[in-house]
Amino acid sequence: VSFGSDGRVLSSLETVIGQDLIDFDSGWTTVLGFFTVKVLEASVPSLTDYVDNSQTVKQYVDSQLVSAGTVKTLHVSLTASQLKSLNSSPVEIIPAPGAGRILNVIAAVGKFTTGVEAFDQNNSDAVLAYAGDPTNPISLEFGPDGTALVDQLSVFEPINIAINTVGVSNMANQNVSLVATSDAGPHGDGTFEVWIWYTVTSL
Amino acid sequence: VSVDVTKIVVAWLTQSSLVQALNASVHGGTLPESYDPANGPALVVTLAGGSSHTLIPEQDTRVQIRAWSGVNKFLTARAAYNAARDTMHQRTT
Repeated sequence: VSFGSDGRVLSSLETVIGQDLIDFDSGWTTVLGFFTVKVLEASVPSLTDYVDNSQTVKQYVDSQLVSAGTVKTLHVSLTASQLKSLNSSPVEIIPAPGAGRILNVIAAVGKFTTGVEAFDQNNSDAVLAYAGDPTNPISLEFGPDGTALVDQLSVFEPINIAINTVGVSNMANQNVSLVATSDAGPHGDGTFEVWIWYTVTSL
Repeated sequence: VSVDVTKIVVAWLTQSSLVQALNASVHGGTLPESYDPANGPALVVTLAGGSSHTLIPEQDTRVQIRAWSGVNKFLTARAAYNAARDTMHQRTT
């Protein structure tokens, strides 16, 4: 039984069977019984509630996952317009992990899905990079055989993780974004998806 | 935010088709002074203690249900009580 924001009844049970009585003043008949009613209050903790005075549920869970070295995964879909401006507007794939932490990308794979209209030809390759800065790359540039990222048909594209040469200061609390070496032309309506596996490490 | 269990049970019984079929009115706390048994039986829901869970936001309450009807209307009072009982035991027919 649910009554919206007032809370939810989890269970109810008659614990004292109703007894027949007569009201002394009015002479009316009455039946009196007792029930145990379990009610879940509406304020079930959400991810943004605080577990204590310093951290939210989400921060606490994240911190436990960090200390456990848990591999996380994300799936991000990019629209055609995002692909066409992937140089000027890199797309965040993994949010920044918080102060004193770095993201370690273990593996990634992409998939192009062709649309109706072809993208303009250009030499734009894409790369996963910290904070969308291609000078702090995580992967090798991809877009096979020198053809453009946004030119591909519906194919899976392995994204090769590069040997990490990025300085710690450029990794700390930086997001991981997908960025292209140049923006595409105005045409094209294909889409791109990225699956990525990563851990978060405390510095 | 704590929830008002009396309010929840009153709403629950008010929505019950079993209670509605008897034309019973449902009240929280006490029977209104204006109550007239000629207009049908009444159910009064009162919270009579219980316990709160220490870790999760849950109340484990003792709810008193009192059904009222007129002089010598034992069957009507019992029918109203049973409608409440069946509703609170998840019966709908």
